[in-house]
Amino acid sequence: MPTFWKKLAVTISAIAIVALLLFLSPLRDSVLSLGGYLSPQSPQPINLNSGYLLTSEVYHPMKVRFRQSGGFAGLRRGCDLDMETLPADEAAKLRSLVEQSGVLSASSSQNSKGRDLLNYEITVETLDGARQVTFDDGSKPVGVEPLLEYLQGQAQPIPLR
Amino acid sequence: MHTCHHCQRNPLHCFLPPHVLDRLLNADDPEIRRAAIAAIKQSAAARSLRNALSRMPAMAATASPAGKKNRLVYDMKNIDLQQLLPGTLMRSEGQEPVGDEAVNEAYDYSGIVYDFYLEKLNRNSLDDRGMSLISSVHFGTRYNNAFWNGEQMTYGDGDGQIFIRFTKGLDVVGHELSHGVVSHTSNLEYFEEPGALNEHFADALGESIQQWHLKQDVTQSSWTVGEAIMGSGVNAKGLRTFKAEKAYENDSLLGTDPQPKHLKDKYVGFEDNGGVHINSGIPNYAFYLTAMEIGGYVWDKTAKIWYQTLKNLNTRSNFQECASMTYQVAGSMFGSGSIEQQAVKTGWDAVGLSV
Repeated sequence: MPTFWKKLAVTISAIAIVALLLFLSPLRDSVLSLGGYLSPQSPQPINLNSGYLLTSEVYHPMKVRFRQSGGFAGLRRGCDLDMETLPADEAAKLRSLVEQSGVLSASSSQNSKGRDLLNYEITVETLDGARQVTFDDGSKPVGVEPLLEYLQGQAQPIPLR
Repeated sequence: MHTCHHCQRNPLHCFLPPHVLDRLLNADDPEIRRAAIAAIKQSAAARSLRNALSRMPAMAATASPAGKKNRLVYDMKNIDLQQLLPGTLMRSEGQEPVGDEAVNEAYDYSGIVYDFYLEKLNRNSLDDRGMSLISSVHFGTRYNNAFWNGEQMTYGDGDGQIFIRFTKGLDVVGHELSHGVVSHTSNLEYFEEPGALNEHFADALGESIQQWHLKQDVTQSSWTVGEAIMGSGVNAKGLRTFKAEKAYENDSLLGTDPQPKHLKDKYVGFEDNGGVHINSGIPNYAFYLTAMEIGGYVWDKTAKIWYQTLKNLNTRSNFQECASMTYQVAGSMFGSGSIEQQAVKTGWDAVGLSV
């Protein structure tokens, strides 16, 4: 019997610790969103093919301005993308990358110790107004990587003046 | 039925909302699929870091220095998360070369940098207390950059087009390590003029180290930064030049060299931390002109004046204070009114700064 109670106590403690760790963990949102995803109220999946639908929202125009500077090389690169002039599939790709990147709600940040880090500025303009976020290689918002990689692929040299 | 392959196996692998990630993984476009896979890899990497640190808090602390030359070269294996630096140890002090040329270059070149500071400037490593020189190579995938994170050097492999691996340039390695020296001396803040001076000292000391290694006098050097790391898609022979000319113009990948060579052309925008890699062109040109005036080997006199100046400046020092300090230092090192002190004045005059 003592063995049984001991086992029970260990099991309960383990469950409590895991629950506490999950609650404190940065992964909490992912876990919660997974729960939301499995529940009947989960959002509709993105329609990547139409270019117009995203989680049941009605399409509205979006412009994305990207600027990269700094780094060891100090190169200034960037691109200006307008979803109204992009092919539908490109526009849809960009829209989904923007939505999942979190830049619409991320706050700007800077790594103070780093030197020669690349600096980034992303501005998303919608009918609701423009939202700009700046960050660097040492302070990237979680989830921004796929969007950043896409924008870097589109970027061209930009003259200083 | 909608399924989430990765999240079903382990939901904690996903930072992104699973329905988004799943769509991205099944996208027709290979670019999007690759990005989604990279995002999954990243979150897995971040999780393993947290696990490791929670088990062994001591891992988060910097290793204590040996008190003399102590190089450690790590491999990031293409992960681009700074939280995961330094990565896997590949070669430490005294060990034989390994099969990876980036590891060997980081090892060899950081050794040359250490020797230069010790033999020519009487400085024992970056902190002058023999701190370990830690390098991480293969940071990220096709990463077109190298940086100092406040504690160590980090090198990308380049995309092959614009840049190749950043360890290939001794001036690059010298630049990154000199950022460490700046951090441990004047600690110039990384913004506007002090930031441009931070970049300038990294460039000037990196260039001096390369000339010392190649045994070039000031007339033999090309005075170009980054020659060895340029990729196959660019025609430029380097990234920056200490001379009056532009390092590149109308290049399809690089654009045009933005560096000014005179105070009146200083960039005043907000990008690049207020133009730290742009406006460094101004003191770089003054350094070059001074070295040419003094002649001989740059490390014999010019670099010594600049190094002492770096130690005398503070976090907020601007161009004018730097110029005046080099003049004062040259006076106390070589005598008031000496050829060396006049050379310093000539250099700064040409960029619009009177001393």
